[in-house]
Amino acid sequence: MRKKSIGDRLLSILIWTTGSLVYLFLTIPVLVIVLSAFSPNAFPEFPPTSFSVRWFHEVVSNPEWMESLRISVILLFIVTPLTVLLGTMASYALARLSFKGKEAVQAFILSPLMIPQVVLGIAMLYLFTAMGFTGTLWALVIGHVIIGFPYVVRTVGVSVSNLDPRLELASMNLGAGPIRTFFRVTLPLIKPGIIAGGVFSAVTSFGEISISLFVSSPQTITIPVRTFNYIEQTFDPSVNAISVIFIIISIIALLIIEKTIGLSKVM
Amino acid sequence: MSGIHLEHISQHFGEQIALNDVSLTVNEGEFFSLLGPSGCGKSTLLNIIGGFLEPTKGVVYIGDQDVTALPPYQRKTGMVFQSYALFPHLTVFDNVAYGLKVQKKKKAEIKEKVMESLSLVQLEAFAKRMPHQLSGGQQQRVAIARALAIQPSVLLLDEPLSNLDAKLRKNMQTELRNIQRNVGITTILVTHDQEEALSLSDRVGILGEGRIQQIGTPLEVYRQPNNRFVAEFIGQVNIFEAVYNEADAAFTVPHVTHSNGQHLQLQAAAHQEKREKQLLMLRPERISISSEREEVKPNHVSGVLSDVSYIGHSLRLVVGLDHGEIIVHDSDTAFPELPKVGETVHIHWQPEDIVFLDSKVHT
Amino acid sequence: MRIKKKNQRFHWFMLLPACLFLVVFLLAPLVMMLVLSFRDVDSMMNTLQTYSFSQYIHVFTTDAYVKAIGSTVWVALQTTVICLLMAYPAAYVLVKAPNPRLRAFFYILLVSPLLTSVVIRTFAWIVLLSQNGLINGMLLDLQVIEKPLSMLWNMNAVIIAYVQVMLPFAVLPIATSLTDMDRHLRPASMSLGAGRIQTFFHVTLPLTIPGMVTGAIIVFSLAAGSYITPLLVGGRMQPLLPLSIYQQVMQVYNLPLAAAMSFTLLVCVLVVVSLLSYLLKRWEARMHA
Repeated sequence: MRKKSIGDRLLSILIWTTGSLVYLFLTIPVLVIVLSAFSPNAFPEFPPTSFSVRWFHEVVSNPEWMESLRISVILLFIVTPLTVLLGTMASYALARLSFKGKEAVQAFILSPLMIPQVVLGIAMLYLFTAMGFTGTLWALVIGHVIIGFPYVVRTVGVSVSNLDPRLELASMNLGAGPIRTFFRVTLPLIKPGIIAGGVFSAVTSFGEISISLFVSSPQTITIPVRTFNYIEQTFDPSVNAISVIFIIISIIALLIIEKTIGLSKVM
Repeated sequence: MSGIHLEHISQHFGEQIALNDVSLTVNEGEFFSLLGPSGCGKSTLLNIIGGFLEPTKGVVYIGDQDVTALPPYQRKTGMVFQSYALFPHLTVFDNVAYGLKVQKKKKAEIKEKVMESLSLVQLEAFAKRMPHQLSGGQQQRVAIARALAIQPSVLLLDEPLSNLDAKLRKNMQTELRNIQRNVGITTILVTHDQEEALSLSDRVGILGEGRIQQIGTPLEVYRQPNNRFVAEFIGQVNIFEAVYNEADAAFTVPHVTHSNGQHLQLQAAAHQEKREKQLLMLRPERISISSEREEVKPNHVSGVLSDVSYIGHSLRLVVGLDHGEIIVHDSDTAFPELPKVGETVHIHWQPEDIVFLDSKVHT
Repeated sequence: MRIKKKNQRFHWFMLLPACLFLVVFLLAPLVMMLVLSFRDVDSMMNTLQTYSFSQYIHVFTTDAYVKAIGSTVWVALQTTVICLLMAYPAAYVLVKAPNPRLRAFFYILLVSPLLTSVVIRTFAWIVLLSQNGLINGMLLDLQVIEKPLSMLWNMNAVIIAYVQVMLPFAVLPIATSLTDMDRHLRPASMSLGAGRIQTFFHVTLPLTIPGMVTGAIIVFSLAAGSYITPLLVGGRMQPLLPLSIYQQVMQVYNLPLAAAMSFTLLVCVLVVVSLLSYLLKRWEARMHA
């Protein structure tokens, strides 16, 4: 649409201004956190008067934060492969099967995203207590996998729907069985979806708090949980430094996702 | 009801020039086709007429009014799109009534006009249906009814039949022509299908590389193409290079040898530019095949048959010459037995069937 | 046919692990909690072996809890409406961005908050809104106010933080709806005489209903179930059901009551989500074969 009368022009300006303001609103936390992280004071000022990295030093030299980092990273390396495995398999199966009630199963697989996390949290707490391993790393693993793998299901689902099923048919025509076909033909072609899903799941696990807060113990405090405790109890400004690290991680993650399958298709 | 007049329309998209100094006039009540290959700028031109694009240069007149600066909703144009663009959330009735509701017409008047429009396309019974319940052809007819309901000055159609299958397309072409004659509205059709353009239009405008290559009636454009582009785009054609021979005051075609062994000679008409080189065209259906040598024929050439295709009502033969080949279309009835590949065949044509092509672009 | 059978077995085999995992670790605990919600507790918060509706009665007869249910739904509704209103221009701008670099930039602005922890995002509001935070600091410096404003520890702060956290979930489905629209529909409407505003209300808006409803479903469920944000920004005293649940679990240790509250919450969310889903289905049926 290139035709613009005065009224149209005003309308355009209005829309773009409002839209941009909304994006500004979305970005405020990031700006605030960056400001805080590099400010020498506990509370940042605007405009900023000086620049300091003392909070980063504090984080790195604090054994508690380092322990939490260790836990979060270990979790990451266990949870991500699991979610990728479960999610990819489920997503592919759902795309290739058709049966009565398939929609219900699909909803079931994606349901962890829709159930209020407070409910999920206490349900898991109860289950793990009954099974005897609440407070262990495995409790956290299970919790993170439950809310992480639906993301993989979704992103792999996008890749699979872009995959021409006739490629698999061709492969089987040439004598390869379904397993071989899956590994030789399907998997390489849905790699983008898997990578994007893995990244989403990893970042979600890294930042997960709603369930972790319920099922963690003093031995398994992840970074988000420790952040929460600090904010609640002490207000240690080194939280700012952690936040900046999170933001950097999320932007890198986004770039990876954009490079692999393109953000527009993921959500 | 108005005519359309375009003056020196140019459209630039950054570095790319989509339309280069296009001027044309469409007469009131005329069915005019804009014909050209994909990417030649014809849809761009239609969008400019409809008001969806502001031309980089030039003026658009609808009737006597300069509408160049007017947005689409202030022009009285009705547009039909290739994808039908029916509002999926409205019934057929509401789709057709849409423009009338915008004009704030009274309910009774709207109903009358909508049913009138629908009867033009014979879809009155479908008024309560939703677009997704209709077939492609039916959707297209609703799109036409919707555009006509607002009684526009001009009807613009952007490749409206491209999404239909061949048979349906033919039927819709006839219907379109009938509706247009019925209503008498100035119509501009954009298409890349030259058969469609030739069969439906009063006049055809051929666009190539952003310029008008020729405007004329279907007959003119087919029989007297201005240049190679037009000749090759419309129908099938044989094209030769001719060289002017001062001594003989005639053109010879170096690559085509007469049956008597000499180079083919063509008498040049008095006004014909005596250029060094000239392009000639010869339509395949103007060539006849004879199995015996008939010396009397003025243009008589022999060659070896390299391909035969039987299309039912006609044959397409490719005859290999000393240099190059000639395509011949002849009717089925001329051949009690089909000729075989590898046979020597003799072909001939009338001298007046040869058309000299200018290399000029015409507006 | 043999190929098909072999395939089917393979595919079912692929589906099984995820389903099993969910049944054991999602369905089972939920069912267990449902059962738990019907147990009684004694004065020492020990769970007894008897079953009854006592927990539910407790929930629905205690003023504080009833208020919490109401305000949870009300806050979630407000959040949803505000999100939808703000999401529309953002989605429009995203879709109409004139070049792909700008569009990618907007995407990053939109999606990167989602990948940071909700703690971080909420924390930023504390830094902004607290008495010695950024906004108060600026206003004091500019001498617009004399004493710091108290902007935290109330429901409005919670809603603002909610909107900021959940806005992307509303923007993305609406953006998808906008791009899914046949690109000739707007020109068609304009060629029939409708201006841009008329075209928006008659054509664009109705056709983005699926996106808006989808966004509403996501935002509502998130808002109704959040507890971290209100804890940090609203203060423990806010009447919200998720907060009550958190309290019962982490401080009072009354698990059956918490379970009853959880299921009440779940039912509320399910009712609203089902209603919206039903409306969505009806609309889609009208528009598609």
